[in-house]
Amino acid sequence: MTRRRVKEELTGLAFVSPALLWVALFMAFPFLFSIFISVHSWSLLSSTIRYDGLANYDHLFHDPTFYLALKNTFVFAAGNVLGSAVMALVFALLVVRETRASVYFRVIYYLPVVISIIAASSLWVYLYNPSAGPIDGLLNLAGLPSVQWLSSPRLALPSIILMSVWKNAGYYMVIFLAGLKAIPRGYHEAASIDGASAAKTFWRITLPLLKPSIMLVVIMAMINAIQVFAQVYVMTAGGPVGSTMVLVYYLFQEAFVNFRMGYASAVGIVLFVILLLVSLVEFKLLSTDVDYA
Amino acid sequence: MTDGARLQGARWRTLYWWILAVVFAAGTALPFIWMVATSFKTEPDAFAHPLSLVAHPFTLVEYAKLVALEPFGLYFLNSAVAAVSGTLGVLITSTLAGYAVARLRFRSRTVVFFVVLGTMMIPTQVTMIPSFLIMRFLGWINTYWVLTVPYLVSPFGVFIMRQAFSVLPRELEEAAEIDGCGRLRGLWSVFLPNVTTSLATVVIFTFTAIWNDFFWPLVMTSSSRMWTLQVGLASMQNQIPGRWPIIMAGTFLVTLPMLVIFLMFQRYFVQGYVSSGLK
Repeated sequence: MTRRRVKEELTGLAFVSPALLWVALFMAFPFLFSIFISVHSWSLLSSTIRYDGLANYDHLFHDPTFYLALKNTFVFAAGNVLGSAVMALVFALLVVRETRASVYFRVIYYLPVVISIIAASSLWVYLYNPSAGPIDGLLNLAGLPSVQWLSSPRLALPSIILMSVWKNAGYYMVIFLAGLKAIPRGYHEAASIDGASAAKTFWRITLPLLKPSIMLVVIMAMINAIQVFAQVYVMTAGGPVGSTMVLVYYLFQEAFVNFRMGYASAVGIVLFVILLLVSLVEFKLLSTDVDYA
Repeated sequence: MTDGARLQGARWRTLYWWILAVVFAAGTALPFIWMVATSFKTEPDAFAHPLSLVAHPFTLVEYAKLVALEPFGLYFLNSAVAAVSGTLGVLITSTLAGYAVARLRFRSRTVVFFVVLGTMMIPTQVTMIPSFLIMRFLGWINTYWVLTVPYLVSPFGVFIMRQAFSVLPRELEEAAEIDGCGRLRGLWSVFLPNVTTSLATVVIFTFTAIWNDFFWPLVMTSSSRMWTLQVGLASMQNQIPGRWPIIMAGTFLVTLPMLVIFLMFQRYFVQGYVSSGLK
């Protein structure tokens, strides 16, 4: 190697070293460490650490709360993905044209995305409150009885889904806008010349050509939804009677309330495997792209 | 179809468009308006008129109570320390790493890039427990270390900057060389002026992410003097349940900086249309 090459090599390594060091300390090592913790009985309360093999995983797969959390997580994900994607598509179709009004409506639809999930949750606890909240006010105005949105086991999870759709739809709207703009003009012009109705044009042309954006939105929303935590922490704390217990909240509770680090790490590893599988499906589906030619 | 009928149809479509757009805008924006209105209401007013969009009487007393009850100034300071130092750190580390991976011919660059990118696949929830044990081992729990150092690098920032540097023309290296610049000088005076949009995107994205972050500061700080705004606001919900005007005052204060930043820089948030030509 010439001196120049050696210098280039060293400069490159020096420039990436802060990022690499961080990845090692805050990502790679903790990830490997969490696998290690998950095969130990590791209590912070009694400070005992004992190798336990796969016992944590064995308990996990016989733990009814884990299955409840798994089920709720997927119900939340399904509702959130479907609701967010549909709302986002409706928003995008409404504001896709470059008019002055469209630009203002985009900003409004995007507003809930920029506030923190904690502020949004705090706000919706108020909106949902059955004695002083505005939603209750609307129900009373319509002559309907108050509804226990967050304290009924049947409604708590759907209520969190509704709030999450409100929070997320604007984010996915942006992806749909980019997708809609990528569709060449000629397709819609041709359909219009052939006298196709607006509904027919949407179902037969817009939607099929939007498939890559739809897939992207569904997968991104899915991965985010599976990690749901803050809404549950603020709005219901997993209740009532476990009806909003989700995987990450269960992990949090086991690790930082009950201090069962080994068991909680096993939950984390299962969560990682689920997310990995979802991502793999993503790559498989996204690689079958639409061809405009 | 006659021209008249076509025109009439277009008018109806415009009307439907406005109705739909306004209904959805109301659904999106009304919660914000209720939040602001309730924060200026007295408690009896909030209970008696949950739907009213104006406070009657208008009062700032709940804000005064809030500041007396919760050390919001301290939470604000902690959030600002985390977000400002993290954003500066990410700016520097992402620029260096992104530039190196995109423009320097060192042998491990592809591996480095995929290692950094690969960590975006590991959710922080999964590494939270070992991270907590590591921070505890280092004695960083409830210190500013835990609110600053972990935010100094962002794989997403490296990714954005790498994309930005890699599309610049080859001639820039030559220009830097003719000027007799070393790598760092060349990066600063020749390359950086060409990637300002990406730098702005990284700043906005990072600041928002850290300001709004919750799980990390929740786990890593137990003493309220180290809490960020998000952790402080989350605890209010449990400490003073049902006192809506004061809770909405806190929620509005936590939200306000993000709303201001968004309205000032909204085109950077909505990158989707920046790339599609709308400025």
